[in-house]
Amino acid sequence: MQDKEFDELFSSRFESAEIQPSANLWSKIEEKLDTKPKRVFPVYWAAAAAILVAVTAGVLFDQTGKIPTDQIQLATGTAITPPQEKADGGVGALEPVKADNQVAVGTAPLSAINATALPQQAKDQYAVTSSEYTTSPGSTTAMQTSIPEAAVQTGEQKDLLAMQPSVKITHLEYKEVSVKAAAVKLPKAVVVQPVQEVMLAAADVAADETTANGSDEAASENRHAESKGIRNVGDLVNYVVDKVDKRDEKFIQFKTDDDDNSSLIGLNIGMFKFNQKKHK
Amino acid sequence: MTLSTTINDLLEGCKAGNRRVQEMLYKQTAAKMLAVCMRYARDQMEAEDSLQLGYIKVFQKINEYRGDGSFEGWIRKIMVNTAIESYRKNLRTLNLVPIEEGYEQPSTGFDFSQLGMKDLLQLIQGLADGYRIVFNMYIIEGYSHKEIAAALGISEGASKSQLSRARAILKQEIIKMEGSNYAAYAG
Repeated sequence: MQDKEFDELFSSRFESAEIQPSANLWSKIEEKLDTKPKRVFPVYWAAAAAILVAVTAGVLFDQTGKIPTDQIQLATGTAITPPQEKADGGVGALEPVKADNQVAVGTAPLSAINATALPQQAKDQYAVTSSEYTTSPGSTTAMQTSIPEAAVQTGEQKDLLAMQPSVKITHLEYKEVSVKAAAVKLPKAVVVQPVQEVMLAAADVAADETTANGSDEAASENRHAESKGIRNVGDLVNYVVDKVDKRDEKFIQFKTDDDDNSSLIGLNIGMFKFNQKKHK
Repeated sequence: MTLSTTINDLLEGCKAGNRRVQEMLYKQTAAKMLAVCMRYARDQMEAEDSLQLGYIKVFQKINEYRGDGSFEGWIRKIMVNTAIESYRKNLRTLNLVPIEEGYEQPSTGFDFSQLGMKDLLQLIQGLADGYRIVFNMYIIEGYSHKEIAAALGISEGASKSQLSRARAILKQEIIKMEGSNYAAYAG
């Protein structure tokens, strides 16, 4: 048999050959056709997520040791967590001595500000605490607690504070500290300071908050007054990082004086630090 | 109305992604295409796997069909390419069997025409992968050795020698088969 003959045998046999596939094969194909191709995860999302993780990690690791002096710099906290922590402390602190730490005497407007910084729940706790341990005989002062400070004074609350405190609260804290000395000397014990007063005082808050915010913004603007504006990506990163990370050694910082390329001069991510030169 | 015009009528619906029309196209062509895939596979399961992959490609790439050549031929080509690809994926190098010289020449008096498609298919599926693919591509699909060499990443000479070896093996197998059939018939 010649090759040609042989080849033709095969090709003719298979030319119109048909073999029925399994009955369920189409449904398998249909299933595959219905599943959409996997969406590619955008690279910039990954980058953004990485930066977020880096910021969080950097701030978390680094600020645990220096909150009292350095202050809490991350803004935008909802202040909910600290008050809750505080509330626990306040309730648990049934001895007058401890209450002393946490209770500060302020003038009426100041107290009002504090009161509003607290969520309602905390306020209620608060009123109870102050009515039990503090008094304001014949004066208009309200007994209030400085939440940020109280939280800071409790070691294990630092982490939470580092993540969530608000600049506004931090700002107020300074005032509180000065007031606090007086508070300690005041006789604790005795009665009252009704809840109503706290609530009434809250009316003043709006105005005071505005002032507080205003001065705060002014302060942060001063911080940036010396910068030369945003000319490139490095500046942009520096600006954003500066907004978020108030430490001297930012978690990441670029040198933007050379126009060709922004070069990295500072890294401060938790355990890993790198600083090319001292700046500021 | 011939089958091919019917298939061509389905082209637009498939391009539009109409699932019903896609199913009609499948129903019209699947048996033929499975016969193609079967020649490249060792068994029906393997063949149906590559048939499935092939149809998914057909529907995904339907807009790339420009109308040069028959629609059915285009589908068939995708099936063949899918079958080849799965082999190239599974085996880094095609399992080319060394050539033994001096194989037995089959007798010439045998009537091959008695052999049916299923018999031949069985023989082809029994070939080693390299033989089977080269034999299919050359004898049945009609590719040149040059095209086969390019598609499989082998030399033209290798393609030629694989083909001639595949032929020889098949002829031997046919004689064996005929012998046993004859023996059964005679006995």
